[in-house]
Amino acid sequence: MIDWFSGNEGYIQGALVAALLAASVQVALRAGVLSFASVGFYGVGAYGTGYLTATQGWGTAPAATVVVIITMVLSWLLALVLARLRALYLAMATIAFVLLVQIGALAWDSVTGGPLGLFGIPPALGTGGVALILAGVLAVNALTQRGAVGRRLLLLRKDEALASALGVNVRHQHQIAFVWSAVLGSLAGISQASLLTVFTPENLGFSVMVSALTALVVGGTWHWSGPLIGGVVFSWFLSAYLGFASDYRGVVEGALTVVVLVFLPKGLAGLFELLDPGRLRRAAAGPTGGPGGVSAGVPGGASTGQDRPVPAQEMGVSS
Amino acid sequence: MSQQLVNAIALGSIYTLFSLGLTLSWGILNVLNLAHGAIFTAGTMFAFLLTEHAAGLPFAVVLVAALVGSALLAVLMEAVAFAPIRARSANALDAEMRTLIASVAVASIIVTVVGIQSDHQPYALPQSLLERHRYDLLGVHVSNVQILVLVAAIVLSVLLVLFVRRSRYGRAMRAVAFDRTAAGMVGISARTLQLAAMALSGALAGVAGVLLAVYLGAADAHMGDSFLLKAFAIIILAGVGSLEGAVFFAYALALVETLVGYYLGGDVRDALAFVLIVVILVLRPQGLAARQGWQRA
Amino acid sequence: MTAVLELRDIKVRFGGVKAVDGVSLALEPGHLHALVGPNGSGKTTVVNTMSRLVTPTDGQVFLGGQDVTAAGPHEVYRRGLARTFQGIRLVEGLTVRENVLLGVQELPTARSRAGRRRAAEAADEALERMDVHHVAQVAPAALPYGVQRRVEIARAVAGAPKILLLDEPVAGMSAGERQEISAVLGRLRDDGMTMLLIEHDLRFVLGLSDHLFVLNFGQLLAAGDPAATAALPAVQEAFLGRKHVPA
Repeated sequence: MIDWFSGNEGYIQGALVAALLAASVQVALRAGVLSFASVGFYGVGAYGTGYLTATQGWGTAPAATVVVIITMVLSWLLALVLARLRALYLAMATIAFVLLVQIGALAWDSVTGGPLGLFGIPPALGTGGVALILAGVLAVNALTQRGAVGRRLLLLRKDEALASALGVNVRHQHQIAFVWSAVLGSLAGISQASLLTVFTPENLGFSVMVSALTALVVGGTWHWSGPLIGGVVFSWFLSAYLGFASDYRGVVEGALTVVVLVFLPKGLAGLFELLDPGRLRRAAAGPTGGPGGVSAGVPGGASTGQDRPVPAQEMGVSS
Repeated sequence: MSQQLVNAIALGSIYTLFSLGLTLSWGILNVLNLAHGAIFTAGTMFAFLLTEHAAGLPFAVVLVAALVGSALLAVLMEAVAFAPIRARSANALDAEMRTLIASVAVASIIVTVVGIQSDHQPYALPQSLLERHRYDLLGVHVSNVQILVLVAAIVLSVLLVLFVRRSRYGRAMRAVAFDRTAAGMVGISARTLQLAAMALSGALAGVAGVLLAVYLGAADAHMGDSFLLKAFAIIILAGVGSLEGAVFFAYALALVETLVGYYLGGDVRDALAFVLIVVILVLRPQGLAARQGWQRA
Repeated sequence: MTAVLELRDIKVRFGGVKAVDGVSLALEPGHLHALVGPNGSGKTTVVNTMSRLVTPTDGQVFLGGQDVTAAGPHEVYRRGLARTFQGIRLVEGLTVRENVLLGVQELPTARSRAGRRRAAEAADEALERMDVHHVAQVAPAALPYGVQRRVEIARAVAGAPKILLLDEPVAGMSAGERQEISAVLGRLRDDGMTMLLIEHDLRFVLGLSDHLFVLNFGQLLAAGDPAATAALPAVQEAFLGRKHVPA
């Protein structure tokens, strides 16, 4: 057992951080915010902690606290700046933000160590500490998937105009989701820096965003367990058992992702639904059918019937 | 300095071809196609394999073959991944996000295959494919490859603009970009139109890739990445779906990048496109986000 | 008596198009008002202006005597303005009851634990009032169109709004379903609910409403007692006469 753990610890750590990062994207998406900015705040968290601990000699706890507060302030400001962007435009702007963070990490030598990065970051958190952080985050996400908050989130991502007409302050909710997403990204960065003890610009950028998204979508975008499942599958199983074929890893990951996207719209988490359809149907409420929302950008009167995952045998009279 | 301008024009021509394909798929299929850079790379690999296995083919044949190969690849991606995903998505947000991720996954497959195929090394198209000549024009060196790149960009842009303005397909594409249910009015199914748009998009990426490989002398598996993000900056500057705007801003970006790189250094030049994306999106969202007009509901 | 809702000289322009061109009207408590007009006359824009989804180019909106022209849609909802949309807008993935809970959970009164419990009770009452309590645990998409509409109305009235706006609630319905919704609206009127019913079919509102507004080309053509107003030659022409070419 102990042998097994030490042999797999690196993969487990990778899975934990990947799950945190995937969860950070998820909490934005589930409120209807197509933002990847949390991957940029992953860099802020990692470099912030690295700088305060390794360079300035702070303890990990005060450093992490300050970094999370800085993340909240910065992400709130960014949310104000990006407030009017929607959908693919927001996605694009936040991808640019992620890349700017990477460029900033390369250029701001005095804090980030430039291309060489930061090293000697104290390994204060450990696998257990990061697992605790992840457990806490997943617990919050699981609780807010149900009840009034869960209903509000579903409403927000399905129909913004309706949400506002039912008393939801859409902009405010989007900002909260954006900041919460940034905080989770920052926590993932803090965890990664503490686990690796080094952090370089190589650990940032587009490919990190891609891994987080892939893990999320394969795991299950709309269920709280999706990030965990995706993180375990990609950063643990595939890394551990695909090592011999690492040359083909890109092909395996890509193909697996496409297959899941096409055949399992709810990701691997959706498989549980087969075991327990009643509970998850309400909780996850992801897509299972309907002819694609190509015209749903304008949720007008004609959208009836487009957004409804009805099992065929239940199809009664509809519009 | 004027030598820099010649380089900027060649770069702008590649940006143009690359961006036109991307703006088609965004405008017509509403997909943020992050595999466009990979298809661009695949175009160079098609050309490379062709020159390896059938040496002595004329350049035009190689270019057309790479064009067809890239177009087929893009159509395959649409048929196997994008279309089924759109058909099973619950709403627009879901469809946009999942096709975006599918495009990343497809890019990962293509880039990995190209990487294995090339042994993760840069690969060069043979010199004999296109003999290089240099001309002196008003004291500036201009190569025949630079002229070819410019001419190809101009000719293809003009053809594409004419196609979209004049042909039945083009009108249907514009109608769909304006109103997603409108394709049927012109008598062309949305399905055909989506495949046509992806074919055109892939063809343009393939041509751009081969021309860049010839221009630079070599290609590698990751060469598409940096172009992808610059193209997004260009599209956002131009407005999604605007072909003429994409052409204009492709050259404008290349020129500004060249000037910034010359006077301020490479770091600033590399950040320029990303800063532009954020700044333009923030300052002019109303013009750019016009399709999101839910007030009309 | 103050009007529940009042529009003062509302103008809305989309680009160069005048969708609404100087509309003033007041909705009195306890009445079922009807706003009728041919398609494209600006009815939906008027409702969207009232519920603050559209910001007028000019003019003011008053809710309960307070100027809400600058308020957001969520704010006017919390102050007692509820609406339904032309198309069914029920949230997929939620049951009928959960959809109705959406109508009460964002109200300021639902913040406390006791408030949440009272809100849930109000939702259950609304389900019974609209006679959809027996399908409370069902996915709404499985229900007939008329029942779905009643669920929407239940959601809108669950929070006890001061005014209810209904944007063409019977559009695309069969005769039987229209009858069903008409009866529901009649009951709400008898209970004293202040309503504005938007409709393009003049006949549907005649027996139902007690005050009629007629909209044409973004302007109020006539207003007053339903039967008398409907009989006016100008109104007859707008609905039955030759096609106008919009300016």
